Amino acid sequence: MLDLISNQKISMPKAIIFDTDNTLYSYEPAHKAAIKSVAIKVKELFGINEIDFMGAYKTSRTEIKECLENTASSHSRLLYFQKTIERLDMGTRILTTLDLEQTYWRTFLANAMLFPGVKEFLQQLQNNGVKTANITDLTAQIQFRKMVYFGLDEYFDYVVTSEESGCDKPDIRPFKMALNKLKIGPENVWMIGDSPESDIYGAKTHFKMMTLQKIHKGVKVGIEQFSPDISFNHYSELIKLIKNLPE
Amino acid sequence: MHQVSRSLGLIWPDLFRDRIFITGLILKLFFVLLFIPDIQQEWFVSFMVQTFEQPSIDPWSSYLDLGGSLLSFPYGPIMFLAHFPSTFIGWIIDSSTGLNYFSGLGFRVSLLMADVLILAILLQQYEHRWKGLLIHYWLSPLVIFITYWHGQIDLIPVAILVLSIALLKKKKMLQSGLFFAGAVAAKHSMLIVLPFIAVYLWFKRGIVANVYKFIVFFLFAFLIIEGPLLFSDGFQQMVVNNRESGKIFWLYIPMSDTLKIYIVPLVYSLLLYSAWKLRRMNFDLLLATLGVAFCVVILLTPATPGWFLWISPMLAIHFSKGNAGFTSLGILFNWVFVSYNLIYSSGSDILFIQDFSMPILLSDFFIQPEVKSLLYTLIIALVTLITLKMFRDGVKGSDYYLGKKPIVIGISGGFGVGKTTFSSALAKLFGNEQVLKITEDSYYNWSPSSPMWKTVTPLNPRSSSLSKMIYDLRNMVESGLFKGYVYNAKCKEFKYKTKQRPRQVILLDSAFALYSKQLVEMEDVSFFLDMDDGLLTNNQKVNLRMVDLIEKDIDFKEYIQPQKLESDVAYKLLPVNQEITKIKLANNHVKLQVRIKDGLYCQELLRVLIGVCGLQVNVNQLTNKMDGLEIDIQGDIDVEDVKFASKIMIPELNEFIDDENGFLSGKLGLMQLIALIEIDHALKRRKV
Repeated sequence: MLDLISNQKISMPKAIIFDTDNTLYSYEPAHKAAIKSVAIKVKELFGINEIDFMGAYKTSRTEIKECLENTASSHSRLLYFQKTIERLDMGTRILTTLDLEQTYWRTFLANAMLFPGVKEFLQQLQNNGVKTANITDLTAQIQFRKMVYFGLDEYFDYVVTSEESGCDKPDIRPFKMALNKLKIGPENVWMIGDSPESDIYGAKTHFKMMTLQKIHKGVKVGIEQFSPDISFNHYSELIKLIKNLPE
Repeated sequence: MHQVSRSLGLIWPDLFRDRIFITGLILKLFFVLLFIPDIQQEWFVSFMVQTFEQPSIDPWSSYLDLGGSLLSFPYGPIMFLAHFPSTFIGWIIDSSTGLNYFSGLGFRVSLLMADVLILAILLQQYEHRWKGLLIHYWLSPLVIFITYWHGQIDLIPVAILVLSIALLKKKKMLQSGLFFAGAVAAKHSMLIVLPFIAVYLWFKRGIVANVYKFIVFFLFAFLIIEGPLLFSDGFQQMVVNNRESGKIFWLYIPMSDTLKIYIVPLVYSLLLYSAWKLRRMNFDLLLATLGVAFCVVILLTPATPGWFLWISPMLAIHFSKGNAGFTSLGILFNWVFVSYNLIYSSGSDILFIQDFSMPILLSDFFIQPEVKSLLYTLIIALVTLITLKMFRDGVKGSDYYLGKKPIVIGISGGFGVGKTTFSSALAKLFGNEQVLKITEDSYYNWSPSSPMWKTVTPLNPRSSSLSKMIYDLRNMVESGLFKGYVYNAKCKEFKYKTKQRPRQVILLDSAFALYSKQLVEMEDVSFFLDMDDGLLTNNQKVNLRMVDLIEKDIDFKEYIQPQKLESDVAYKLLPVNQEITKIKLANNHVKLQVRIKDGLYCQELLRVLIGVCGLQVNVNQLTNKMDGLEIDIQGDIDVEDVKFASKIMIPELNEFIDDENGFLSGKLGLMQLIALIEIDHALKRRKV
């Protein structure tokens, strides 16, 4: 259900910036299936059970994130798996690490499904002449692969990855880079994302953009400084909203 | 881009967010809570409650000993177990409160769960028809009426059957066989489809490992479940010899006083033979065939309303295709069926409403036998139309309906370029047992020791009897007279045989596979293989001798190379850096160059190769655009990536190949993938 949270006047945007993970598709089921397939492979290769693997994986991921902070590499599954294998006292296994990363993303893509109505909404924006950009926190390679897999590569005018901007959201840099590419002022731009801390807070604090939060299972509406202007469950609600806005 | 089908675990969250589903669920919960079908209360629930009150390992005999009706529970032990948990909980509540409501409620809840399970499995298999399936299955008046108003419980065996079929599609033979045993042990009528499943499995042998496991585990599980009950008099009377089983002999043509022709077995046998003659069956066609098999029994016997539930998943699949005419026919059938049974079949008591009866039932008009018969005839006419259309669409709608004609694949190229390796890779995909190979060595004019080989190279058409090759291939395609190399499972290699049963795939592996126009016309798809001189193959010693021989001759350029233009796809392996020569074939510095004549699918292919497999791909524009498109592919590819790419690019063809073990990694895997995409398109063109 579309919920107008703030009193901000809504007018037709000239551009909309989207987050990718958990905004265009549901991240968690795909991740769960992917990490499970990696755990199975690790068991086949090293005889390490799933619980031990998951424990080592979580610790390794936390360490990498702490070490690399808000950078694209801090999300690298390749580094996570390298560290996990090392933590499991198997040394650095280069081929296996690459294999696990490929297994992870292959299974991830196989289980990732776009939210209903995403393509229709993007098509609607194209028809209305609204430009689109995508800001996403991960390495360009895998995010581009996701776009191609979902068939969204032709829908977005621009993409900014944290690898390109040098920093994850809510840092100002990826937003600034996207606006520069779009060549449109932030007052005419909407930001759609799922994360109140990264997407909503970043877009509101730095540029006072109109912010829309995608709500689904496991995502709660942000409050106070993380509160979006609009929250919605289904992209069909945004299609309706856009159709009813004056040009 | 096609997205691969998701696990059931990923379907549920989306399902419970769907408004149509929630609407249907609320409606069905309303029925479950408030409507108490007469037949359930009188027979099924009564049987279960009796068993809870006086537990027995043979509830059927115990029930009859206590004077129960033979009609109370004509179902197997799995039906009992499926209803057991929720009915038992209801019975405990009833026992402690002194009510007589919750046992029945529990019984109805298990039906609702089966209903949801069927929907989820259908959505998993046909996610692209999400809305259609929700409308035509979940909101189907037929399913709602029969299950929640009339009270028949056939949804349980149907749910188990659908689950078994879905597992069959995933090539999980063991689990599928076990679940099928469960379906039959819930209701014996499910055996109707066993011969059709056996035909489907027969077509899959060679592609799917251990197809026999289905039958073995089905029989094993079924014997374990029902074996002990075969000695139970009560089970024999109520289940095995119930009044419904005799209905297959109900319709007959009397030939004399003692001789009859039974129509149901006759039509059923003819249908089975038709299925056998299809020679190739995909999942959709299997479902359509199963639907038709059920329809034969329903149409030609005095079927009870519950039997119509057997075909409800198949009807929903077909109605959800979006064909307006067929959908209208379905809607009409649903309402005529519901109207008829509302008048002539028993219904439900409604909670809080005493002595409810439909005003329409009071009308004398509907009591007249002629009116009843006319309405029944209308139902049969509609089911007949739907059945015929379902079978026709199932057969014709299958992308790979090819009748008796096998797929003919031509593979041409010079010596030592890997034709045999490539044809073996394709044979592995299609299942060695389904493939017949024709190779040029069967058509040489001279024996290997003949002095003629000193003057004529094997690349000269004079060395081979091409007319005989054409004659043999034509015979195979048109007359089904097969001869050539077939797989010998004992020796694990292909051996030459002159008389062979028909095969689904013919691989023509010959340097002259595209030399003659007649051969090209008979081939559904053709490939040309080439290799850069700078590459070293594994059997280099032999090749050097051949290459020496060929280089001295102009035969290759004159007779073999021109065939490249005739091929649908031409592969060439060459070094990434042309200046570096003598690279081993397995080296990463080797790239695959592919020239595709009809590059309709190239955009999709590029997206998969770059986006999904992470390969480096260059598209080269050919001078003459009519020559097609040329792409260079570099990079290493894992077998799992090839499998994944095939699921995206050729989801339908995946059913006809051994996608578990047939794919290879590296360049050969890529060649397999592209070949399959080309074959997929060629078969679809052939269908048109």
